[in-house]
Amino acid sequence: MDQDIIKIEKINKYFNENLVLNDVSLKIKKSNVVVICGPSGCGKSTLLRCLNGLENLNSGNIIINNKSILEKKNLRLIRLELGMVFQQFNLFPHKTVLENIILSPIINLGIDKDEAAELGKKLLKRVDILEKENEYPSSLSGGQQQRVAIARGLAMQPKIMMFDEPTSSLDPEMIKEVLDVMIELANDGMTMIVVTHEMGFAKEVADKIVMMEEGKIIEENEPNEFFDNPKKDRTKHFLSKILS
Amino acid sequence: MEYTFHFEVFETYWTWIAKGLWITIYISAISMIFALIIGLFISILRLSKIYILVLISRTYIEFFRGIPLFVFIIWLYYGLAMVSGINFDPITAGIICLSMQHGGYLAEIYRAGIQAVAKGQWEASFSLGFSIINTFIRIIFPQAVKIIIPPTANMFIGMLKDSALVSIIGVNELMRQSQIATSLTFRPFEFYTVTALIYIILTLGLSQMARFLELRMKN
Repeated sequence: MDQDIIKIEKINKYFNENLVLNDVSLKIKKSNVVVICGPSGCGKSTLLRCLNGLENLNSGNIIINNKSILEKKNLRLIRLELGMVFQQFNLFPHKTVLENIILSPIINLGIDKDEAAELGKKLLKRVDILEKENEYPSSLSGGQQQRVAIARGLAMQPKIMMFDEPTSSLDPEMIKEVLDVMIELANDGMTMIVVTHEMGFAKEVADKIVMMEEGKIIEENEPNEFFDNPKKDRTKHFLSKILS
Repeated sequence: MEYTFHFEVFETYWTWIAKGLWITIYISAISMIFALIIGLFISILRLSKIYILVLISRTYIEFFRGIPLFVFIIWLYYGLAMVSGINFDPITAGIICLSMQHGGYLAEIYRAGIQAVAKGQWEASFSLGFSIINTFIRIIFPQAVKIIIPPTANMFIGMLKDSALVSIIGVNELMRQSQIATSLTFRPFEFYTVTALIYIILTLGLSQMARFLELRMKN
């Protein structure tokens, strides 16, 4: 059995003439938490979006749980195993909180309604927001919406969860409530890829930190080394800016 | 002003007007249903990323936006009939013209409504494993409908009024019935006043319905 649940092999991605991912390779082990950081426009969000096929590759390959994303029939299977949480939450505004969570399990996993509702409530309890189950997303705070979005991803019982700057559009006092949920998830052994600038979170739970710049991975290190003894000057410079 | 009003003509002719009103409602309602279907279909072609389908839908939209309804009705009923040998009955011809033209208008309304739904909604839905069809039906379209309803209601009001144009090919709808009654009684003011009021009442009804729908959607 292959240890690496995700293998990214020399991928390149262009937006028109712009090379946004330049020969990126990365391996991620099961139950590991990988934090990806870097200045805006470095390609970190695009990298996540390539993993579940929201963006197509121009070259290279991604293998998730032994399935290549290049094979068309795998795309949906990969998406079912790969949860994604967005910066802008992207909850469905015309559905209640509970409906947001159970719609996909019912439609895409064929779970029956009552069972799905039970699962949904359990997840809402886990992200500490059960009392809002019948409300619409617009009546929730940003932090609450993001926690619902995490529950929605988890409802699919994914093998991997991806987070694309999950706290970047939150008010400061709400960041913690979302990070707490993510930390708990990491401690439960979920494989996670997190694009974030929350270095406190990275220090606490990351197994690996990846630094990107201009579409390339410029440093890949375990957290202690990454923070205390970065290999690249660029990393030092970046850290000095975001940690100050 | 020497004119004496003779609204008592309606004692004899109200059944004519009622029949015309019925046909106006009938062709408008059927045309609206067809226009909704055509509009949805054309807008989906327009939004597909397949070049040839986009081209077809754009041609359709430009064609029907450009041709005056009056010209289209006469062209189809007299011109096309002569060339193709297909003789539409007037009501069918009227319905075809109204629904094809307004279907083109509706396609643009739909397109704008669908595109107004945030891109993140598609992405979230895809990420959860929904197919493109399920995403459209369950996630995108229900949100687009809210945006689409007000301009669609406006368009329906326009279509109801446009339906008077099919009188030119002999459909006995409200306008034509008034014309005939007028020619028999020489009472244009009485008949056309009542006809105008009826159109106003019908459009008022439509806009009230739209407002009701909009309110219900909000809650």
